[in-house]
Amino acid sequence: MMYFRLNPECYYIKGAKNGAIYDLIEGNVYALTSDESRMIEACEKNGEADPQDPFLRDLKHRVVGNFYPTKVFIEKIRLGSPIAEYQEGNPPVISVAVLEIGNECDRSCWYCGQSGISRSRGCLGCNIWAEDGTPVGMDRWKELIDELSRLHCMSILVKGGDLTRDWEKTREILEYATEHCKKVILIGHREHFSEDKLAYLENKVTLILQTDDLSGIGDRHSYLFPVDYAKSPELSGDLPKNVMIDMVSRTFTPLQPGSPLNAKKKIPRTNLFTFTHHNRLHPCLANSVTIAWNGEVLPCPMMRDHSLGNINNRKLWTFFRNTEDSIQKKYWNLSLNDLDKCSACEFRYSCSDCRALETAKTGDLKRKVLCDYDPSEGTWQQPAA
Amino acid sequence: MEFESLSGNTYYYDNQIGIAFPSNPLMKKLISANPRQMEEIAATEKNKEDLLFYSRFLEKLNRIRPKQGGVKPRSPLKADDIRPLIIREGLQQIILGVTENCNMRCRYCIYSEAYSLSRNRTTKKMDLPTAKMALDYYVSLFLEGLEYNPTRLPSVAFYGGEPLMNFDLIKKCVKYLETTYPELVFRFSFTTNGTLLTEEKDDFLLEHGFFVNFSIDGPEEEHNRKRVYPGDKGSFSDVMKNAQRFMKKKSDRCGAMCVYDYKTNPFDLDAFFSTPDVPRLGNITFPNDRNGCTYYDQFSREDIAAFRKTMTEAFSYYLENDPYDENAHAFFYRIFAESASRILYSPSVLNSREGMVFPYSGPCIPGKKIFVDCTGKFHLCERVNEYFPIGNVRTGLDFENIANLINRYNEHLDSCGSCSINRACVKCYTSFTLDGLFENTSTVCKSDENQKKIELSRVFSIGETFPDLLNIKVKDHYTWLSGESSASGD
Repeated sequence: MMYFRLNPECYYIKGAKNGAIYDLIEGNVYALTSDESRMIEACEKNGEADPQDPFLRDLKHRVVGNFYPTKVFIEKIRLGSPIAEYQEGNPPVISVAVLEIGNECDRSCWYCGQSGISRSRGCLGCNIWAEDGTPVGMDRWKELIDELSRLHCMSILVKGGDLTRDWEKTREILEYATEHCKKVILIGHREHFSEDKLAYLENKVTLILQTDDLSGIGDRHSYLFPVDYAKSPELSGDLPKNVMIDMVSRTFTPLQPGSPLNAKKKIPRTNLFTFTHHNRLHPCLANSVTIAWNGEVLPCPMMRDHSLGNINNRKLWTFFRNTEDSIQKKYWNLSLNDLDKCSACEFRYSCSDCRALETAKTGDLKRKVLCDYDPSEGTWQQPAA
Repeated sequence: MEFESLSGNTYYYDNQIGIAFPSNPLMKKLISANPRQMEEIAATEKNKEDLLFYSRFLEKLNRIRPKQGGVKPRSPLKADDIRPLIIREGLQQIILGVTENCNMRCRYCIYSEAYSLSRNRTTKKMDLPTAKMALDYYVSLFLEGLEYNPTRLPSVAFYGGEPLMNFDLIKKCVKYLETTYPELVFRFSFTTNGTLLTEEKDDFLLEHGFFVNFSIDGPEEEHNRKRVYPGDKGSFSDVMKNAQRFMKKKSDRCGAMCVYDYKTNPFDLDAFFSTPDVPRLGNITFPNDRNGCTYYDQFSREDIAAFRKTMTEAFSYYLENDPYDENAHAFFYRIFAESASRILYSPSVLNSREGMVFPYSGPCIPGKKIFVDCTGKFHLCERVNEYFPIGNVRTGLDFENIANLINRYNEHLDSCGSCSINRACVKCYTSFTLDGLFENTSTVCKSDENQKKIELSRVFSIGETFPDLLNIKVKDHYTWLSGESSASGD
């Protein structure tokens, strides 16, 4: 008799009914049937295996696992040291800080946040909001950039509103940000920027331009293209690689099985970094913070009802303290292990998740509806014929 | 490096990546083969299926392999490099050495005559002005550091000698901190021989949230063999009376620290620490063998051989007797399962170490902890002798001295670049310090590869039979230990 074990770089993740194997080097996520899942579970506990079993032999052929004549221990590949990570006192890692430096615009785009509409990539788009509050002043923006620098923030994303309405303010903030942060990204509507403004920006920042049509976009920048969710399945063919689709809907109903928002396409390939990250942290909210135009600190620019407080009367670091109301404990640590049906899903360490859309739809921070997969049955809802 | 588990499985430890995996003769040939040799193997190997598998598996690993060859530290470091590092990543704890006096004469005490390079016991005590200056300095840096690392909690440990011989100062320090800095929540802890605790002291310590580590070496005979008063009277009955009284009030605010040696019977320790009226076992150590140590002169080769044989039997016994039950086998659980978890999961896997402050070994940056002696001098660590000062309460941390110290330390890691287990090394200053000098790793680490093989053999032997045991308590273990910030600085 023999034993079969997955390779060090291959993890078996159990769902409510089925399981999946993550190959962290090749990037593949293998969806298993119930029988296959049970077999792998038994194998991973050093249960005996039939060396002629076609499923196991296929896994060997794919270099996912191997047969052994005796029980072995497979040390799994990981990143870093889990013991070091579990110890308290490590500084927070801020990958991106979103600074919403303005809240005015004359355009009235049909997909703008002020109309209460939901967007799948609204975080990367410009919006204005029907909100009260005192705008953050120039001095406080600069202090914030200093504070982010002290917290070793890796990148700053500047957005509005129409950032050209007070161009001198935008320039002053960008100049300051680029002096204090390695990477600065700016988002705005394509129509707002003249050629000379684009020329100025191209030398300073990474640009994402929101656009209502794709004509003449070229390949110099990245573009965000809002489309009506109801019409999104009509999008076919090759879109340029520098264009991101932003699905827009007031309610995202009816949920269309097979749409990119809920279907299998939302499960990207895996790798060591994302797998390690998703194990403990939210796939999107983690390591990011948003400061709104009025100083409200948010986990995401689209989660307007989830303010943690206001930086007009608090230092930024106070939002990262080791307390139950810190951004880390409330949002960053919300891994898919903690969410509704995701916790029972074998794809949870590869899947994406937008808490902004989910909470807009359900009002519940931990509920998941934008997903066609039923982990308790192991089935995907199919599009109507 | 290859090693074998108890069941005879061979594993290969890949030092560049940082993990070990099952090996066999074919794998071994492929790992070390150059392209020409690979062709020869391909032509002659009969088992083409295995050949294909192992070749492609090794090719996968090569895709994620970090930089090969010796890595260079971030150097030379200057004072300006050190301060921001400490402000952001250090300041995890201040340890006040409140007294150099002790009412006991433990045989392995680092301040005893058994250690020629460490100071001896004295009657010196820290006074309140010195303590206040040290605490104010620590808090000033801590508050400055909040903008760089808001997740830290200020931690104050009290050290000796026997800290309870200056309990009055401890009380005054606690009250000073709580009234002067009411916005901060301090974590207090200390390690004690336990003989001087009273009801009144219990109540104070519990009222202020102290975590108390009792030094308890095992059942009465074992404990009294090593932990004695002047005149050699054993301290077991006094310690246990006080520890059990404290436990009755709040058992989760105390733990036990145990030192064992070559005359210890591990089965006796396991039975003792598994009883419910003994504090939960935390740190387990062998006596320090550095600092001019003569403690080990008392053991013969026969003693050492007998001990190792007994430990081997203990290991087999543990694996056969419900190893998941921490309460049933407290000592064995710590010494085998948790130690194995630490050996497996402490080293960093895959991360490139190029440009790190310490690309080799595992010391902390001086200033991660600040140990203050009775006179107000800052030291590298409470476990390191006093020949490595890093500042004082009047002038603060000497960042230039710290930078020089780190640079000197790295210069003595002369054999680390070619060491086959450098990624698994978590040694710190205590392994290399002399009287102001560092010993070269080529001198100190001679038998480490063999020792690592033994450790990995044990780890993988556990894993073969109980694949998930090593994962189970990793987080719990370190949450408990680091959260309670013992004065032994784990």
